[in-house]
Amino acid sequence: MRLPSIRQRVARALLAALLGWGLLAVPLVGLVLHQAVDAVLDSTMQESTEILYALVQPLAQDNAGPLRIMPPSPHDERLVWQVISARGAVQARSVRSPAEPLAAGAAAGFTARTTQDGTAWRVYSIRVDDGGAMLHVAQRLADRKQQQMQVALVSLGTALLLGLFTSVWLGRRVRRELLPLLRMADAVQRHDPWLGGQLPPADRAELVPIRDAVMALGERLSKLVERERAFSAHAAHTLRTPLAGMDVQLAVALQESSPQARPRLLRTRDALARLNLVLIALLNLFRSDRRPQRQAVDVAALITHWPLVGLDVVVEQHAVLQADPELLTAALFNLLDNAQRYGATHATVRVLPGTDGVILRVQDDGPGIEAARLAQLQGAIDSPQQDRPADAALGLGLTLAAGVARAHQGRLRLLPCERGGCIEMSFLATAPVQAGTRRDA
Amino acid sequence: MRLLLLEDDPTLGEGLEAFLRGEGHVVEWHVRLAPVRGLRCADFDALLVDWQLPDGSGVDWVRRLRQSGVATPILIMTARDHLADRIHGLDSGADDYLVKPFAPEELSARIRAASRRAAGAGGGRLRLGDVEVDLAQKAVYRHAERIDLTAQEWRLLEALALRAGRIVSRRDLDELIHGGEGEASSNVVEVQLSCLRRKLGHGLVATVRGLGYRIDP
Repeated sequence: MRLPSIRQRVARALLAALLGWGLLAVPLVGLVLHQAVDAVLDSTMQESTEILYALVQPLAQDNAGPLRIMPPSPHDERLVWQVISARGAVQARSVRSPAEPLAAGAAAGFTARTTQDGTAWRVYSIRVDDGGAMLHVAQRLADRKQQQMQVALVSLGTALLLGLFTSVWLGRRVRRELLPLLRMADAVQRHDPWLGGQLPPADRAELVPIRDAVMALGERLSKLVERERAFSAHAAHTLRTPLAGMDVQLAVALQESSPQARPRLLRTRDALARLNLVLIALLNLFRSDRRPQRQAVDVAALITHWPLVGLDVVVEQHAVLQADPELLTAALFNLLDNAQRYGATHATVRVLPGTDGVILRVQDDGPGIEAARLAQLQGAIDSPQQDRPADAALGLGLTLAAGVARAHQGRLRLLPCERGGCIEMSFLATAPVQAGTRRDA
Repeated sequence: MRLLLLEDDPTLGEGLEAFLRGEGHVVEWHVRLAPVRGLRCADFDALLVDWQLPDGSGVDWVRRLRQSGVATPILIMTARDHLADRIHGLDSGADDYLVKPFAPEELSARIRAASRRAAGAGGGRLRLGDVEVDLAQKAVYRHAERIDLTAQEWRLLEALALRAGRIVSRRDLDELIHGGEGEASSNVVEVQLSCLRRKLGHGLVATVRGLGYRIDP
């Protein structure tokens, strides 16, 4: 499952905040802009009228003359004007001005008017003389709206660009702020509390409690491992020395024994050798500081002196396996010992190439395992210890073999077999060397 | 061979002593370091030392022995199987390191191998003039012809060959021939030496009057 990313979440929150702010701000800014642009346009009209005032005064005084229309100008005329006589007739006008008066009466100031051709106008009027002549300067409402729209679009574009830039900048800023967290993760990754090292000091206040917590956890683990090591060393000494003593006593007894007693003593010594193998395997496998010490192990040579009385073991491929010899001994011996105890008289050990390494296959002529039980055991092998159902308890042999396979990044598989039992242990990244040998136990 | 065994576990110590005696060695077994400190370690052919002893560390003692110039082969026997322990044990000056539990047969083989190496016969064969001694096969050749020896003759030859160049006293030879057990007859060494000289040549073993016997390498 992909976990949510803090950086993405913060960036998303910032983007949402920006969009929310934008949605709220756009109508307000639009309204303000609308008012401001309106005021600017009105002011322009007002100033234009005041400039025209001096120019059109002579025209207003010539109220008896014909209508005068100004010749077309070379530029796009946005404002139009009219001089209206006291009688209300258009005395003079700009070329694009409508023929009819833009405003009725002699009221000065801003008005709105829609002419007969349907054009809506904004009109500013002032008196030209005391006789009642008026000067109207007008602008089409459509032109005003177009100008307002242009301003709005430019503002919106600028705001969007600014938002985009801010979003990118904030994203980079957030990433930079998260870098100390990544550095700390890297330091934690390299941190080995067993070596007594310290994590580098936190360079952000928020990371101080995390660093302290990791250090405290490391110390707790370190003490735990220390206790385990002490126990392991003590257990090893307590168990290994008496076993060595028992073996040597049996060896002496064998030297001194009568021919009748020798078989009994030999069987006892074999049993002790079994116990030794299991004990060493257990001590190694469950020691937390023990990592597989891989080396080339000749499977055939490994099993040569194993006390497997009554079991004929054939190594079909005399293979050199990259594995921890003690762990491999524990696993393989227990699998063969299991086979023997369940009635097998013949076992074959093969080393085959696997997908990522090699597979060690042990096949015997014993009674095998029923399909239902096989599935149950495989489930137990593949599930963590605490998740195993009570009735799926593995024996020591399978537990050891599964543990050894896992220690070599491999897996233990129980395979359905027409006759007898078949078990495979995979070992990651090893290469078999071909040859052939046979060993009769 | 004359062996010094330092092991505090009585079952293992007593068992090893009996087993090694059964193999024909002379074994002196101690459970503490204190009585061993007064011994001349050069008189032994190999030292078998437990790491942890009631009155001190066997490994520290080995280091001190090496610093004082003792070259006798030393085997550490211990329950410590960590890689760091093995390195520490060997770096202290031990020639070999054996993790318990071990088969006494393996210990015996390692003692033989260490002694061969110490005697300059790492490959198992030692050339003494026109005589070649195969310590691993317990065989002896003169002019490339195999010479049959009795068990006592072999023990005598082995004891002298492993100490080639050094004088070995008659008492020591007596003890080595009899594995430190039983009463040695007063002239057994002379009789066996006479047989050896007859089979391998009179120049092989030299008599050093008043001190003992010597084979020159």
